[in-house]
Amino acid sequence: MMRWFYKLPLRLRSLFRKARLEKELADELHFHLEKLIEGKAARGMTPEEARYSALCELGGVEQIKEECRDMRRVNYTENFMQDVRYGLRQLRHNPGFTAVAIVTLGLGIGANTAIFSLINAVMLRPLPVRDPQQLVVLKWSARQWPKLNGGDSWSGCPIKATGLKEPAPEGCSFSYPMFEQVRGQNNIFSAVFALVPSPQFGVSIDGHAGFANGEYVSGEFFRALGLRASAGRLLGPPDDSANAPLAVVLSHSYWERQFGGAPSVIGKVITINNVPFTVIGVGPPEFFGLDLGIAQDLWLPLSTQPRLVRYFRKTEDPASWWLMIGARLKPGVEDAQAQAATEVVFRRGVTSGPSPLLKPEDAPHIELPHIGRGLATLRKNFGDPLFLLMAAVALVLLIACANVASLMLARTAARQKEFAVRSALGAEFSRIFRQLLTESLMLAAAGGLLGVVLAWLGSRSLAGFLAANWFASLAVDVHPDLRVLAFTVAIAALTGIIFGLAPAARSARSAVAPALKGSAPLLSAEVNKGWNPRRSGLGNALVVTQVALSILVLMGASLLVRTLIVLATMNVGFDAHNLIIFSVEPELNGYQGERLAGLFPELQRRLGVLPGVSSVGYSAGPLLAGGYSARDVYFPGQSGEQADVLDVGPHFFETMRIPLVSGRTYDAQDFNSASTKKMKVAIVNQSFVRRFYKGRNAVGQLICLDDKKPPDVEIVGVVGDTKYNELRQGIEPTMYFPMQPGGGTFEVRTALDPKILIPSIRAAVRSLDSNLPLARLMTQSEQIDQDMFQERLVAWLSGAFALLALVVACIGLYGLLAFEVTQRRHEVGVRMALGASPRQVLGLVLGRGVRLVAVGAVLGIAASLGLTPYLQSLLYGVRPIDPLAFAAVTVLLLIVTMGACYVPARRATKVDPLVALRYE
Amino acid sequence: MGKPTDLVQGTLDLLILKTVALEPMHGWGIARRIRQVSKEVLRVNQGALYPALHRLEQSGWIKAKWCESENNRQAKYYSLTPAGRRYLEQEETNWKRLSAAIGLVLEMS
Repeated sequence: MMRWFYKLPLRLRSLFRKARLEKELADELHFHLEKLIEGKAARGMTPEEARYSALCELGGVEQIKEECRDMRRVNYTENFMQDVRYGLRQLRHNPGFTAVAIVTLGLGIGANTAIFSLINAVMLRPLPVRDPQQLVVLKWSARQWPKLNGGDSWSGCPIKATGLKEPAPEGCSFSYPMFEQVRGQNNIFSAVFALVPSPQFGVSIDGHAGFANGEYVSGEFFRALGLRASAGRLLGPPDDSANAPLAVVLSHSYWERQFGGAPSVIGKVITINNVPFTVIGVGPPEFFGLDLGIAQDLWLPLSTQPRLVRYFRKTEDPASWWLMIGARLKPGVEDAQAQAATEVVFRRGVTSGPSPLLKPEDAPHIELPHIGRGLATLRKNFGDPLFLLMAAVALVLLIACANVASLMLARTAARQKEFAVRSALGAEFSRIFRQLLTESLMLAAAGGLLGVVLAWLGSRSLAGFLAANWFASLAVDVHPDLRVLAFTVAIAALTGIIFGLAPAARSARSAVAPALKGSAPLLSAEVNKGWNPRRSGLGNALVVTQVALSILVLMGASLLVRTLIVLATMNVGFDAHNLIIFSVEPELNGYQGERLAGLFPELQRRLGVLPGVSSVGYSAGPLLAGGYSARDVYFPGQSGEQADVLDVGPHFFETMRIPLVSGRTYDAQDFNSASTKKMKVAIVNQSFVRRFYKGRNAVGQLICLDDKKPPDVEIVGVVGDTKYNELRQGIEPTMYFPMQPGGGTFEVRTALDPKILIPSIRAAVRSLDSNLPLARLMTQSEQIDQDMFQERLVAWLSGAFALLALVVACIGLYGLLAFEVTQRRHEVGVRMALGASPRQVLGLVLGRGVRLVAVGAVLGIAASLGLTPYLQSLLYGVRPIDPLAFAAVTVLLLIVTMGACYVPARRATKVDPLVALRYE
Repeated sequence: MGKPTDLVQGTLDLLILKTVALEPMHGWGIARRIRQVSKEVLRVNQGALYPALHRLEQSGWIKAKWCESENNRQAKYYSLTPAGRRYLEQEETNWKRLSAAIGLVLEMS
């Protein structure tokens, strides 16, 4: 260790004080020489003799100096600087090559960095809280669903998405009594908090109504996360008690959006769901809640829930599971230990008491997934697509590498003479090798820089796309951090080495003599074998690789694009064009009773008379927005079945243009008497008839919604099938009931471009009640686009990357053939002089291109056959091995690559035999 | 001028370290001292001396300083660093063990 104390200054001196060191070295040797001469003179030599003898004895002073310099190891750095300067000169002299290489690499590295920064933001970056690695969330599972009075499942819960409507018995919801018991485990957890996601709140600030995302948190929440307020204070345990004053904490971004970041907001009263709350503080700027998928605007104490929603959860009921429980592990406590202790508490809680929720043999079990990187909503939705895209961009980068490698190869082949001269002058193999590697690393560095710029632009627009299409406001922050930067530097260096190594190794060891004598021999046996000389084996391999990899990417992309097309052109069962939808939640604004019952019909009347509106309907919720409800139905004399349910208002079917198959739709009578008449009415879809009545006439049939009572619902009509919650879901048997007064979604059919009518719709609602906010106002097509969000993201991006791959591969193919044509001008000249026609020459070059593409295509198709089945989970309506896609991709590739081959082939036919042969 | 073999190089290092262990000395002085002490048996190849000195300096075993020499001229004086002293002790032990072992083998017949 001590030695560094001496070594470091010496190294630094060697680098920066070169002139000084050189002088010292000269002085030192000069001193030695003079001493020698003095000694010899003392023994009686004449000064001349002494000098001559001393010089002989010492040997070559310059050699000694060089050896001393070697010992100082300055040569490495000096050589490196020399290589860099030389490389820069080389690259400047070939601007075309340099530009193509840098752009190719920049695109490859940029695409990788962009996708990686998205992955980083969604999956890797820890939450901005104290010691995020200690945070866990409680998750239960069992063999049976417990007998609950009510439960909520939270999208942030880290459970596997099965895609089934009947999920496995597991979840992250717990009862309040369970929360209190877990909170007692203070030998394991240093803090325990509860969290309840909420539907959007209607917030009114100074008379302006809007919506905000928010969640209820227990008093320990902010302290458990170790967060500090940007202004005011955060919620604490005293705020979370039944008689505390109503307090709310705003998120930093909500504070800036709504109040311009004014500190005067502290102490201000805002109304949330028509209840006045006092703003007590603002959260830290980087904190958006525990779930990256939903950026929170507000945090409210758990105890305020009964004041804000009609159907609140009872805190004392152990069979009402509605809380997420988070906890911070004490330092040193093992996961297994904490899990075992929590499981004991949970098991006791659910299997004991007067009416146990689960039996011991149901094996109630607790897991403690870590949430240091946030809750899972976004990861569940984007995990697979993001990794797929990462794989695609990795392939693109590989193609770019192969491309630049083949360009380098071509260029180094053209530089054979230079290397031969250098090695004839005594340059070692390693020296030339280093020179070439330096050049490729310089290219990679430039490509990396370009890539960072492209990635920055790309990831910003990607994040914009995500934010614009996700159902909630997103907290994805794609700014490049150290991890992203390290990633970019690493891939840039790696690509530099990968594409630089092969050409460097090849040319550094090439033979000196033939290269110096001139270009490759003209009429050797090699030439007679035609256009497949072995010397371009590596170049061939690189082009074949590029073609094969781009087929793979194209194939994947074509399947994903076809999935998108299948979904986008799907018949959803209603007319989604020229339809505006928006939701209204009047109960949040205190509407009740008569006033509530009168609101929707009045709104429907006012909207209906707007110019350009052809009809207006409403329903309890929008179609194809991801949500749905379902319930059990019973048929007289049969067991229960499940059917989807949607409550609809007057004119719903006409407005949506869902065809009436038989019977009737609802009339005003059905709505007036809905709550009083004994026999209720229902309209069902065709799937319902097919499934439960085997196609017989269902109109007039009776069903019941409660198996203990006689039939109380009469089917009055049958309508056409429509998609309900998601495009990808099949059509389930569905019942439409007359809608009771309450919140819902309006559907407005327009005769004009629906976008034009949006302002007048807003105005119409405002004229009725200016405090009534419109939620999710958009066209039905936009709603469907949101539903297809993941498919669109994946299809567009993979399509773009596939095009990129194709372009890059074409550049590679073009480069190789163009280079060969230049190299083989003599041969072409001879052939033409001996009578070959331009057509034959054209065929020669094209044939070579076709062979390369064909080999690449076969390999690529083989690889696709093996790999595309992994895409299964992202596909819909397309089989993973799709002959049409295979054929389309191959034909596309052939056409495009033929274009790339044609240019150099044309150039070959333009060779003038006289000019070509004059070089010999 | 080929590079010295490992054995010679290692030996030269040992000789240099031992010589500068006594007092700071310049290159010419080191060569002279080795010749004198070894009774003219060991003659340091002048061409190898300076690269060796520079290498030892780079390795942190010895340090250099410019000082006045006997006749008022500036000369580069080398002396041992603490790490170099430990290294010398270790190398001396090694050398003694090695030469004793070679001696044993040679006395065999």
